[in-house]
Amino acid sequence: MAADALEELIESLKLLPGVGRKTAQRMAFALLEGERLPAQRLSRALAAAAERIRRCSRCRNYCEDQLCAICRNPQRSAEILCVVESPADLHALEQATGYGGRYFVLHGRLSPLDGVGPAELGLTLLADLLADHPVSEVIVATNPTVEGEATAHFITEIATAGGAQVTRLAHGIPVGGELEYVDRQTLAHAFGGRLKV
Amino acid sequence: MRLTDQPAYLLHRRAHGERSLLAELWTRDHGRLPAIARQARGGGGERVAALAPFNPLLVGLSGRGEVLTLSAWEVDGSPNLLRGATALAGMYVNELLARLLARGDALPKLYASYQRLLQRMASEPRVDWPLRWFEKQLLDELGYGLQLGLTADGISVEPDGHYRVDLEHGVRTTTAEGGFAGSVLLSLAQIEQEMPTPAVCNQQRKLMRALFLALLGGKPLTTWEWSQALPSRAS
Ligand SMILES: [Zn+2]
Repeated sequence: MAADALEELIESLKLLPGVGRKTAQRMAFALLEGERLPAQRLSRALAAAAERIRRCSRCRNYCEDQLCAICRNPQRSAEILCVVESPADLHALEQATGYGGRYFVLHGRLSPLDGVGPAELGLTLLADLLADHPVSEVIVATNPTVEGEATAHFITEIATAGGAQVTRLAHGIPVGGELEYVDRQTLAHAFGGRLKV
Repeated sequence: MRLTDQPAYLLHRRAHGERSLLAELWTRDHGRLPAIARQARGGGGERVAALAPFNPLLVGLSGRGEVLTLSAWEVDGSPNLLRGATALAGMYVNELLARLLARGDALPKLYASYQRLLQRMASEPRVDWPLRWFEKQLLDELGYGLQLGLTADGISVEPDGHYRVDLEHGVRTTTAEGGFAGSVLLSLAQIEQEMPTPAVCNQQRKLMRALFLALLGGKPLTTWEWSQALPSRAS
């Protein structure tokens, strides 16, 4: 039995982050207005994305070919590798920094009770990558959470075994912030990670 | 049930729907309790960051049935920062507790030991000693305490002897190689007072793993399997 097309559309839109039933309804009606060009365009874009987008065979970033644009770019240094939890994190670093090396995308972080382990994060691929193409520096850019810390430890071990120097992103007080208003954990991290001047 | 300012640790949390979190809490006075923190995700990043493993928390809980509502939480005291291998070891302990603690079964003495474990792991150079110490506390508190200095037949364990250990029969002499050296058992009996050598601690790790595997009904912990993937092996 075919589901009601409108209902199916609303249910599908609800799969998007931040979209509840009401918002999904509003979106569905907006898409179906008038000539339906937006709906057709969106439907084509979704079909193309679902069909063509896959993970880069080297860095696991999203791309349409065997290798992503960053891995193919001869201007980017093959000497430095930055390991991130998600494609969104990669994008954020690309926007905010002038980083000129390559990336490795984990698509998650270690979480024992959710069944996310080293295999799910592609750490075997990372170890092979570092063995085949040694780098001088691995930047570990996992989040400063417990899971991110444990993940960072794995990557550090793998990178060190591959002969690379390992660096971590500094975490601490937000730029423009005041100590008094910083939460305890952040303050404790910043205090523990203080730098010599 | 209604609890306010209840000391607790978070053992695990996962997304629950779009905006909420399902938190597996270990409360001091009411044991392990699952609870939902509504609207905890998105926006208040700082507030949700406080609801993290190893932070000493004060929580407010209410509701009836299987899953309670986590209405309030704050960090009480200084957070335990576990870094690197220690973070991984802490995740192992939390997975073990989440699997072994019965819901609603308060174990205040073990709770105090856990607090001490976190402090020790954050401050001592070696994590294996506090880990083995806590594992022994856990077995004792769950009612599986072993008499490590004596065999089931009442004979003193000798440092050079070889022994098998299981939860049902306790310590038994074995002739075959592959058992545990008596010195490993005697050191475990003294783990509160004396730091074992790393080699002895590693034997104790294997012994504990076998005992816990039996308690877990033969289903191993995920974190045990992870350590196979590490070039050097943690915990
Ligand atoms: Zn790539």
